[in-house]
Amino acid sequence: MAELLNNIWNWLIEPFNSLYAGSLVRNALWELLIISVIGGVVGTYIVLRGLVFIVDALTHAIFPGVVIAFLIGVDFFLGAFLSALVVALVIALVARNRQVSEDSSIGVIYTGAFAFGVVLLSSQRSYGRSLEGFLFGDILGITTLDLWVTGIVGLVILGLIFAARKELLFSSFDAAMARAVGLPVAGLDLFLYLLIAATVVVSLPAVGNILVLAFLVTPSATARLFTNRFYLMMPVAAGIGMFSSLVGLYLGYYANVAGSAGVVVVATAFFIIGLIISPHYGLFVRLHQWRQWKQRLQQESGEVRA
Amino acid sequence: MSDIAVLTNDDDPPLLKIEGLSVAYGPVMALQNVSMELLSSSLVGIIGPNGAGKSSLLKGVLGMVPFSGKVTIAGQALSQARQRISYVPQRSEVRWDFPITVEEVVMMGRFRHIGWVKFPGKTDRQIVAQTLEQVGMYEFRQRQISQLSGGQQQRVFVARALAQQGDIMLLDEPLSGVDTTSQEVIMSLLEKLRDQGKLIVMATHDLNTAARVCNYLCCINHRLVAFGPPQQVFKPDVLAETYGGSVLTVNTGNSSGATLIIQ
Repeated sequence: MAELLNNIWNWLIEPFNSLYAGSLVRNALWELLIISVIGGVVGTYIVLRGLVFIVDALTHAIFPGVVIAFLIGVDFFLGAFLSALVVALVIALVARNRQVSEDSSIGVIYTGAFAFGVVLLSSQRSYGRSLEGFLFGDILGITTLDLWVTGIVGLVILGLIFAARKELLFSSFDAAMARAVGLPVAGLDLFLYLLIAATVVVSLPAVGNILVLAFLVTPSATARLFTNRFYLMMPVAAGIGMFSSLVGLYLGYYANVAGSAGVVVVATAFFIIGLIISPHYGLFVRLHQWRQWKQRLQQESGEVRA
Repeated sequence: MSDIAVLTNDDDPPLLKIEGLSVAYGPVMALQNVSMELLSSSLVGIIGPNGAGKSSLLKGVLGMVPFSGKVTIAGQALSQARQRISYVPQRSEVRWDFPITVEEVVMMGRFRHIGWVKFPGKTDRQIVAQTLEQVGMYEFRQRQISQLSGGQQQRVFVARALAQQGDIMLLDEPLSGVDTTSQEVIMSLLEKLRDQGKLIVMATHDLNTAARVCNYLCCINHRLVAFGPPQQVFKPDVLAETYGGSVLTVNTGNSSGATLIIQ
């Protein structure tokens, strides 16, 4: 028994202690844990305000800026932050009066911007390799410096959200009323887009352009299935993200699959399980309610007949 | 009939003064050149057909939609006196699936008083509890709002407006889609607030309730058609002008002289 436990323990800590990969996996884990915390908080707003499509657009539209920064040799974070700033401003303007018709213009612009980024990058020799890095990130290439950047930017994001939490909650729940009491609703929208953009940028090196949306949205969407409390959604989402990260890293190490994709697959599995077992919205609960309802109808019609 | 309704005596500045208010959505003119002076201790009903600009009038007063004209509150500009106005939006304009409790919704009415960064204090919590008592929703304070009936939800939003502790309350269709218990709770509360000296302005479809409880009625059809006490406004020609002939008035001929209105 003791030996079995010992084996399990060794199996669990091996990825982080191995001679060659240990420090890389440790950095990867820390990076993913930090991203999970920021993503859980920011993602709660994204999910509840129905901004998933807009954030998808934002992540893709940042891409050409990142490529240009790469091509002219500017620091990655500087280039990404600048392009994210521009994109967030444009989206805040376009999304001001969000309507179905504007969906298509956002869709057109962001796929266009993304293609433009690929065109720029493809003019380079051996672009396939760097393209892959941009699109999927390099979770095992995270340096200590990257960790510091993510951590500090993450603290700033969380601090700003804390400072404006009441106003963000108000304008998210009831924008018309928030405007009526004199809150700067348009400014708060832009503020939120900028924080989302910053979250995307610090997550890019680790998880890449395509999958970053899943890190922001999937854990929060899962958390929504399990709680009806706004502020509880954030830690629950962060917890789901952190656990998915850990499981995903083991998958990466032992099954030799791409790390960040593994994390997303695990998080998605949690979401699907949530859809089935959620106490409020789950398949089981609904089936049960439906059966009860049918039974009552039958009983009542029986009483009428008798 | 005159486009300007004046109810003031000279010593008292009107609590809410609207001068030449027009509201336009792009090329569509929703409301044109409305002027009114409203006093404290009154309950004013805004009536008119669908799409006549009732909501636009309320939103224009609060500066929530593009408008021209001037709104002053006891002589002060809107930007200086915004805290004195509270507002109950139409039920359809809120995200009902939002994971938030009754108590948290009402606390939003205190956010402007609390200010950025800070947490709600003891006074704020007391005010929230009191206003929930006033609308009879205290025992539901921990419920998620999607679990309430339409009428209960409306009472929660009235409580939020109360928690703002302004002296003007604007309500957009507070009685539509609401059960009779909630209608009674809301109406008796509004009457009480009026008696405490507040100015209550509500847009409504319910002409019978409006005639019964409002001190003044304001008939809107993209412009101000008539303004005055119900017995002055409820006349066949005024109503025909407001509703474009879609209202039938029948004089019941009893001693109170009540008019039965069938929409």
